Amino acid sequence: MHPLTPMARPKVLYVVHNHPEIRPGGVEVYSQELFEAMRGGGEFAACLLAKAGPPFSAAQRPHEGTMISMVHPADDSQYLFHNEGGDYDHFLGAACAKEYLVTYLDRFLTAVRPDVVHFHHTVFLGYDALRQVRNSLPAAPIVCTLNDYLPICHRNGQLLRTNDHERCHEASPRRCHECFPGIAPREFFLRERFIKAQLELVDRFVAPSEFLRERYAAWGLPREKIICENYGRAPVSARAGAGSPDGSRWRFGFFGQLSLFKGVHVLLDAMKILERLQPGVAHLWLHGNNLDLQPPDFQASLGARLAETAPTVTNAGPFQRVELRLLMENIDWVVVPSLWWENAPLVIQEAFMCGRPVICSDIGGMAEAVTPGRNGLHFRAGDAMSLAETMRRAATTPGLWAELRRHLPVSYPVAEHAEKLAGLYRQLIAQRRALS
Amino acid sequence: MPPLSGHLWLNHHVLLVINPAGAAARISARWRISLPGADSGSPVRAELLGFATPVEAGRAVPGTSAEFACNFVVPEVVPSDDESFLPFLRTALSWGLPAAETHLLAERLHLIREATRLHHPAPLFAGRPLLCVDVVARSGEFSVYLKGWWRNCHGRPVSLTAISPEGERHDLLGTLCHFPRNDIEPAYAGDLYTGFTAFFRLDQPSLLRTGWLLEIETADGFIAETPTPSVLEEPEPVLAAVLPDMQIDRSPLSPQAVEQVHGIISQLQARRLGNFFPEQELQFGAPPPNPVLSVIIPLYGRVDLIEHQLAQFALDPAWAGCDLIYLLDSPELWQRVAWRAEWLARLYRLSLRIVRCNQSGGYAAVNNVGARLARASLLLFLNSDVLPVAPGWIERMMASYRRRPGIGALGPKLLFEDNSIQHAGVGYVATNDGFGWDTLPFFKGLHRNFPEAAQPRRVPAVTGACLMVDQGLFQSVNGFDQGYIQGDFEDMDLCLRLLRAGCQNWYDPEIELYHLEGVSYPLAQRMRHATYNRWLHSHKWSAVIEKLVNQSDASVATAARIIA
Repeated sequence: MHPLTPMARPKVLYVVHNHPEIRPGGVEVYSQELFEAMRGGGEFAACLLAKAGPPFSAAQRPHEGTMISMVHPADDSQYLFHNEGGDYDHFLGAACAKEYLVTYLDRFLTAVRPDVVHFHHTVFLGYDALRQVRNSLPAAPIVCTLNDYLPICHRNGQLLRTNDHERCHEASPRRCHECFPGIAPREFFLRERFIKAQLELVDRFVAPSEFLRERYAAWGLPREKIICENYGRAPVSARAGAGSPDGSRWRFGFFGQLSLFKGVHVLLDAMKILERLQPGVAHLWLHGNNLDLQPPDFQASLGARLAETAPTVTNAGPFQRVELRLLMENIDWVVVPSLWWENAPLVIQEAFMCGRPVICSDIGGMAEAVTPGRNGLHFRAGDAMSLAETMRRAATTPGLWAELRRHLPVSYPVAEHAEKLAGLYRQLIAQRRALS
Repeated sequence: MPPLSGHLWLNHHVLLVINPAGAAARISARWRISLPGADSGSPVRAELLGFATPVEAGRAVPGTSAEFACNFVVPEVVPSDDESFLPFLRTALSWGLPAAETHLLAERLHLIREATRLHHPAPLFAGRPLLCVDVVARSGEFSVYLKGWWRNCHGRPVSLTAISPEGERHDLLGTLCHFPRNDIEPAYAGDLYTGFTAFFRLDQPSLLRTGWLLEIETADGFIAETPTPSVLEEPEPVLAAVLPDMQIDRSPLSPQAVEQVHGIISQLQARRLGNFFPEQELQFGAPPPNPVLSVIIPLYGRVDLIEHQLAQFALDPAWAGCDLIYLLDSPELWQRVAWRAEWLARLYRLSLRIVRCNQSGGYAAVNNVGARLARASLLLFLNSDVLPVAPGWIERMMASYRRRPGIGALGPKLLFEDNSIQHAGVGYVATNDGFGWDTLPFFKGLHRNFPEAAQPRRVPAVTGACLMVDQGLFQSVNGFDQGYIQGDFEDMDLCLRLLRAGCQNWYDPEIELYHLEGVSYPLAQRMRHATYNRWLHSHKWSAVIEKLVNQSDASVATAARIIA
């Protein structure tokens, strides 16, 4: 326990776009872990405000006219904020009905009076929620974790161009219009100016990877305002065992969404090639979800690939995070074949925590998280042949698996992460005081 | 029985009894009609205005309680071809009619016209139309613009007469201007067509939208008539129908045709803006006690731009001293704007006013209203699609204005969204397109840091998208000219008047903003109005512009200095 008495602890408010109880997405789970670590033993008392209702949940607010509700009756620090899901401008990322911010968010903020507000996302709340925090709490620093590239890229922040899924190196009104011919270049200019005007109010951005930090700096956020700080994670129960009983290393696993951006089709193509190169040895377990949400043509082409690779691929379906260690027990390598840059993929952290080296695309946040030859291997993103070769090399190079496994980075405990963030909060509070 | 008196008029065996009492139908009496000069044996029909059924004298009127045979003294007979006929009829019909019932009067006049005139055949020759009216546009009750064509098979007509629904005849041959109508020929191959436009003033007011006729008499004595499309009265349809006539087939402008277009449009503008006023004003946030600057921003169509501007303005503390006025020039969007502005003012903690005028007025009219409502002695006219590059520009711009004695208008550097130059001052350049000049937007499209655009300089004019001017000065030159359509050349016009008043206009690149030209005022719409506005600008300023053009040479940099 921190030496300060509970009464004297300053308070941080975490704002999230969704609560893991409603839908356990990666950011939701991480922000919940951070919140629990901070309030459990951190220097700051913590409070959490998660946006509820559509589109994540069909649940209406329990008390009509009251926009705040509790997550658990016994928990005095977790709240849900019920604005309407449809009342959000997806293009600008702005609240349509400002009343939710000006009246109801203000009431919550001025009642709870946090000393710091830390956003994990503004989606479905509005970037202009930042403006309301600045209005309601002039002295409170605003911290914002950049979990994705949504401010930069209207295509769900994928940074992949719409015509051929080419990775996008630079957003501009003209290039964004090329991706969305129905939206004029000027609208993209207005979008960027609007978002930047709101982000201007943030005291410090937290980038979970260097790659993401550089992308935002290139986009125009002041580099000195962005600190690079990886996600700290609650540890899994134990490292998985030493792999297959016969000592072979031909078992591969994929964890994540079965989407085009995640490159799952590249992995299936690689399995096909691998089967030609060295028949009957490799096997792939697909642990994925949301295939039903993918575009029909992608579903069809993936279905065809699954049929072609049927004997060598097990489509295991969705999984829960608590099952992760058990599932990893059954495989030797985790493959992360994403076509997009990624940020700091949680699946890589989880693979390392479970004692599994990673084979990943040689780009962006993946390349940053995995050092080839030390704790994993890279292949040319999108290139099934390169992936097949890499998988074969991984399985057939004597001693490689054990060597890589020896050097897996130790996991970054969330408690340490919380401590580091507390230091940042303290510093920012002092800076704002000095200014006023 | 009350005494009946009235006016009778006889023509072609039709008798009109114009009963000023209006309530004639309810009078239960026997009327006898005696007609001076009428042959007692000839059949005489009587039509009583207000009665639906024509009656023959001496017979009972079905559906009325009266037996219809009356003794009627005819005090006055006015033949229809007499000059005084229409004024007489109008006076006679107005008796007993409430002043507001002008439309009823017009309908009665039309009834009489139809009952009394000679009806001619449709203008067909060998199965094809000989005459056609494309457009009848009216501004107010007197000014009429008419456009149509005739087929050349009979040579030039010996008369061409427009007849108003209320019966006024106006000869067009003397004033119309004509031009080839190649666009009709594919439809009726082999013939030649002459198009014409005419602009004229009626002696008597016309209100009805249907019932116009055009009558033609050909050289070989053939007389025919054609109906016309409904009269256009609303500004937008009139502009859309009339403005293309400025330039037929891209041929050089005929001064006469242009004068006719100018005739109807200037009437239209004057009429519409004569009745333009702010109807509602809402203040959000506490108004600044002594504002140093009034910022006047018209909102047209894209009212969402207010959010984009406020999100940027909120980052600049200088707005605390500014009187910010949004004027809605799309009155139909008022509810949306009022609701939005209230919440935006609270979210961004800015003080602002929104103003609704009674109708859409265009750039000049709206900004003139804005200037009248302004509380500060310094004005900034700003478009809703102008966004600052960074905070601090307001104070720099005010300082720039104040340190230049003798300044008229001040304009900043404006950038497109791709950081190329949208505005760095405007001049004029010689052309050979019939106007003799065109506007020259200095350095437009060039790099933001183009060296010549980086120097403050005196320029002939600056854009109205972001124009700073002293309130007293602005009023002394009578503000923006409201004769232009919708948002083009008003700024040039203002700047020329400031020059004439002895001031200098300045461009200062130390101040930079973005201007998404065309978002607040769509370019296609602007282009439709451009020829007229350019002509009007020439018309007003030809001598000054000629001087400016002659002083310049092909070099952009030199052109920028011509005023100095």
